[in-house]
Amino acid sequence: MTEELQLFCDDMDEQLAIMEETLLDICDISINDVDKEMINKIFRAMHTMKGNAGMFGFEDVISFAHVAENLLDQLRDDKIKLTEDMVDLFLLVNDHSKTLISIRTQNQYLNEEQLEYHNNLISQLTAFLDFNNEEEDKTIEISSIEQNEEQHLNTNSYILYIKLKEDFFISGMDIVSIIQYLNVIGKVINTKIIDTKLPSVDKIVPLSAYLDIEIEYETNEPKSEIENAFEFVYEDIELIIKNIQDDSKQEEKIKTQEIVSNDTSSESLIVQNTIKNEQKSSKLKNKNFSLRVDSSKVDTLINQISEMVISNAKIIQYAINTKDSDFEEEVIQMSEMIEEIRDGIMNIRMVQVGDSFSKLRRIISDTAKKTNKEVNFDIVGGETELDKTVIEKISDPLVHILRNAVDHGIELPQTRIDAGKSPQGNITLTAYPDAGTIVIEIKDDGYGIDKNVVFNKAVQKKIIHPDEELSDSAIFNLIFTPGFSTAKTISDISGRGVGMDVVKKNIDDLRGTVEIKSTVGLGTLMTIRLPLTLAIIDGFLVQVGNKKYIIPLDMIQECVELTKKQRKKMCGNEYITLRKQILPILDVRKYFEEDKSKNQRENIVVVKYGNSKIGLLVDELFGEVQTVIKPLGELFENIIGISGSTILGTGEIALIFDIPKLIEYKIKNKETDIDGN
Amino acid sequence: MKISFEELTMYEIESFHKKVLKELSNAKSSFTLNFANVKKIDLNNIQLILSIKKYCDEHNINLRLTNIESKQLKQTFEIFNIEQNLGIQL
Repeated sequence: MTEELQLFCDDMDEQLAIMEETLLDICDISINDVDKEMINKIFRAMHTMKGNAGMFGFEDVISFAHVAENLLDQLRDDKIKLTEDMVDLFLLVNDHSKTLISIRTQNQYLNEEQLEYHNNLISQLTAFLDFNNEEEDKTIEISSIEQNEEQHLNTNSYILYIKLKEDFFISGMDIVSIIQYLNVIGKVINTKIIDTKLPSVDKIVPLSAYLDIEIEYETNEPKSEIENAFEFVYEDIELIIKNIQDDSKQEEKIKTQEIVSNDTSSESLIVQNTIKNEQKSSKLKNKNFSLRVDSSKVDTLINQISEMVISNAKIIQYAINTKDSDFEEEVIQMSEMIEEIRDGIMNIRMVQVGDSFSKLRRIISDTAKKTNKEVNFDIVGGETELDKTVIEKISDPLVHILRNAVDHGIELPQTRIDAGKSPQGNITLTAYPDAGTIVIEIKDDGYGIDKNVVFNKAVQKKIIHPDEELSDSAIFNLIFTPGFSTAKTISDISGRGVGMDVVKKNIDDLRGTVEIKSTVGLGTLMTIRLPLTLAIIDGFLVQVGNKKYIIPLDMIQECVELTKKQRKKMCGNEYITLRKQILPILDVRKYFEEDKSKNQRENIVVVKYGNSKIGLLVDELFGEVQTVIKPLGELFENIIGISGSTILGTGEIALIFDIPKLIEYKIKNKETDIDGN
Repeated sequence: MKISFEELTMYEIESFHKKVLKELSNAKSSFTLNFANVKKIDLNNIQLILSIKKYCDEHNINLRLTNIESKQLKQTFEIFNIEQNLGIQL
């Protein structure tokens, strides 16, 4: 896919997401409370789709968007009243637009079935328009005369000067489709090709551009709309749009005009500095708003800064060894700057979860309709920021959890009324940061999960032994076992027993955790914890035996020395009393079978994840280090308690602790099953 | 010269250019571009045709464009006002 097509796809993703969100907002309120801005948002999506598709000559996309746009235009002008049927139809239009764009951008066409559906949607849209036209028949004659007069008064004549830059043709864009689009939003009166710089065929470099184009053009649209038509080729052309009506007003400015041409025959190529500057500044203003960058460029930047962090660690080590204080000071300053750059770059990847979560509203709405349930869906903390990669990867698990919540959790309206609840179920998706992680909670007030049913089902499926004693959370965790399903009926939405294990796997892959709490009759709370980012973290370097380990700094609460007296008090048990609270201890040396250290001192690093706290027994503490997370090779990726590795300034390799997994191990360990709260 | 390409875009232009140069070197008083096979053309190739016209004018060769039958091709020629810009009748 070309860069331009990708840009088109990204743009449409954004616009169609806004359209969908607005339509779902409309579903949540009374149809009479729909304001003009809501209709405008939907209109803009269809209008942009029509315009952008025009650049690529996607005729079917243009015509489809055009019909939808017409209906929306009538709604904007209060000529038609919005109905619930129309909202449903626009949701289908939204879905079909996504399909249409996906197919056309892959250079394919709709198949027979899709085409039939496409035409059916157009007919439905047209039916609303036709109905309105019948209603307005009586006034049409008068209004059309008025409109014609108005249109005539509003028509502006322009001269467009297009100067192709030398590399224009290599960009792969064609001016033909742009001119075709200009004909959609106005009328091209005449096109003149200026070929004064063009050599004859024996001297030409075929892929170089030598031409300038002058277009006489008429349109009712504002100048900005003409500029938009050239959006995809802005970098490869110089464009001057001259309003002929404004000519007289421009005359004073013409003093600053230059006639840019070495050749007298290309007099028409007037470059007016003021106009050009105005255009540049307006373009800059637009670009200040947001800058769309290919995510692979940011990834490259992150990789580069990661390597820089490693090199810098080596320089710091060297500076310490040289004992040159001036050099050391400079190195520290440079480190601080690198840290700032690192944070800045990492910040580029951070996006608000709300944008991505709003797409889930559609899932809820569709599932509720299919299951005849009424569901109110709220998003809390949509402004919480998370690494884009993490958001992308968590999207599928969330879809599955939410479908399950609607399908199995929320009861039918009558059942809810009988249970003394409101007929409308509630699902809340909450996101908030907590100790270097992001917590996503999915809470519903449905039937809840019956732990006895889960337990019996697990026994029946031979996942557990009937005599096994399990805590509530352990029982709920059985849901994540492959092939487990408690649904009495299998629907096409959920309940096939596949999915929740995939949900767990996806969350594990992100170094996250998931926890379920549920009460029968009251509802279920699923808590997902995810790391803020996947690339670079602030770590804390420790040594156990002869090996160095990194603990993610955000998860550290405190470090305390384990005195000989305290060691004695432990009496071989793996816990200590810290400020009158029992703290389970994980002896890292024992756990990873490390050698004994020469160092006589032992230290405890208290780490916290969620509501659980444990102490890690280590030998030496070295302090903070910027840690570039390098994935482990296939051989090592299943080691429980290690999430990755990093290269230290000395060139040594340090392993990074997977704190959630170590805590899980410690809590599960029956001998020391003490909650760290 | 009968153009063998169905589409004249940036991917065909280099080959098209080479073929034209070869054929033009043998042309005496007239040179014909036969578009019977061509269904689509872009501005890059239109530029090439304009440069052929320049060459023809310099060497007193009469350039003719024939069999412009495809709808899309006709539309593109109309958009760029080829008759007027080339100064020849299609």
